[in-house]
Amino acid sequence: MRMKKICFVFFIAITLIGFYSIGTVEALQFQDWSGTWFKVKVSEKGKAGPVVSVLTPNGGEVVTNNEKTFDSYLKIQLFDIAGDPPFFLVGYCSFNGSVWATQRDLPMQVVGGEPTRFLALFNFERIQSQNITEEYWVPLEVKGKEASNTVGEINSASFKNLGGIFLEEMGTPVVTQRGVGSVTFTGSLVKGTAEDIEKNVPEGCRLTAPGQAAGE
Amino acid sequence: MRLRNIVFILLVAATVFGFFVLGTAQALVFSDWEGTWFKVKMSETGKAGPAVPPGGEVATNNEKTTTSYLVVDGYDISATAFAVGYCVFNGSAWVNHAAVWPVLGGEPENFLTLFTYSLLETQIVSQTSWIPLEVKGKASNNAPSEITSASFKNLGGIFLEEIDSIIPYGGVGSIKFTGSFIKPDQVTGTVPPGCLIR
Repeated sequence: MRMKKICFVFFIAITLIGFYSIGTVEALQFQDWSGTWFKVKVSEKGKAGPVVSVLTPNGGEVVTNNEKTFDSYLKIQLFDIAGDPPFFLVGYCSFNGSVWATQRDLPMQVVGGEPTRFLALFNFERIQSQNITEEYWVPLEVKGKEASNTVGEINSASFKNLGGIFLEEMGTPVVTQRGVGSVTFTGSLVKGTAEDIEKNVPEGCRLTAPGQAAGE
Repeated sequence: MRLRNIVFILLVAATVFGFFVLGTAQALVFSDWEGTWFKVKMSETGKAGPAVPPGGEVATNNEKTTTSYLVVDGYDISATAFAVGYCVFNGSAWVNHAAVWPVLGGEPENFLTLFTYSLLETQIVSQTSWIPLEVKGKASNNAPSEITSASFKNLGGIFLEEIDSIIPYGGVGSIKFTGSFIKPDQVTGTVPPGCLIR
């Protein structure tokens, strides 16, 4: 009878230790997102009109200014917990009409949440084509899961926008039209090894600075 | 026959002239918006979570429709921007906030702007909003520079919220923001007195 009790207590203790270990070892950290690649689907819905200036004080007609879904790529470079607020630095790569162009070190503010599900605000500018520049403000909800057998490795992740707007300027060097509207901005994890990522991400998007290779 | 031709030409000329007069006389200019009041309906759909570090679980953070008031104060032709007053209830009183509507594009009857403002929603909640707007207005038939109908609606819109509680929270999400015209003779009865003190 005593032996049974000892076995039972021992069994409970082992179970608790096991649960504790799993709980602590598998908890994702914000730093674990570094190196994560996303394929991003972007679309815009808005309006545009001629710029009002001293030369054209009455402007001109407002027209529809939508943009169909296009692909782009986003890589989380690193997490800075010391920032106020904390932020990720990310690389964003999109096709500018002739080549894939990457913008690096764009801050993505972490608004709240936890490493497996957090809120962020991504505000950045991009060159859509030679004549068009855009600024985006996109609130994001980012979700991720850690691999059960590899601590710190994210094996499933996605993000979706919670709203999102753009401001567009057309014409260089003199801006002749401006547009505004809403943005949808959703991301799915680019899975796999460094080699897999090289295959799935356009060459012009791969960050090549030391420590920032495609599969990092 | 010749007389009929002359009458016909005169009639056509008068019609064309009439259209021209109507067309030019009824065109608004941006400065005509000065003094226009709007009743604003705003709602929010979003999420919030404890600030990082230490962070914590993300939860829904919606806000039901609230009413606020907005007045176009003046138009700066060199900056191509309106000065506006935005009046909101902060839980205990109506508070006026000065803000700007840059005219991004369009014409006086239909233009685009990006309304950006930061304010204290309550004592512990501060919020920054970015709201693209399409603003429309019509002039009176008999008083060309008088706006008789107007409205605006958002083309997207987002907010960033900071909640300064024992556990600080951060929230983000989308905004709906629409405005309906308040006729000049109804401003005093419609707009809260706290918003009229400027």
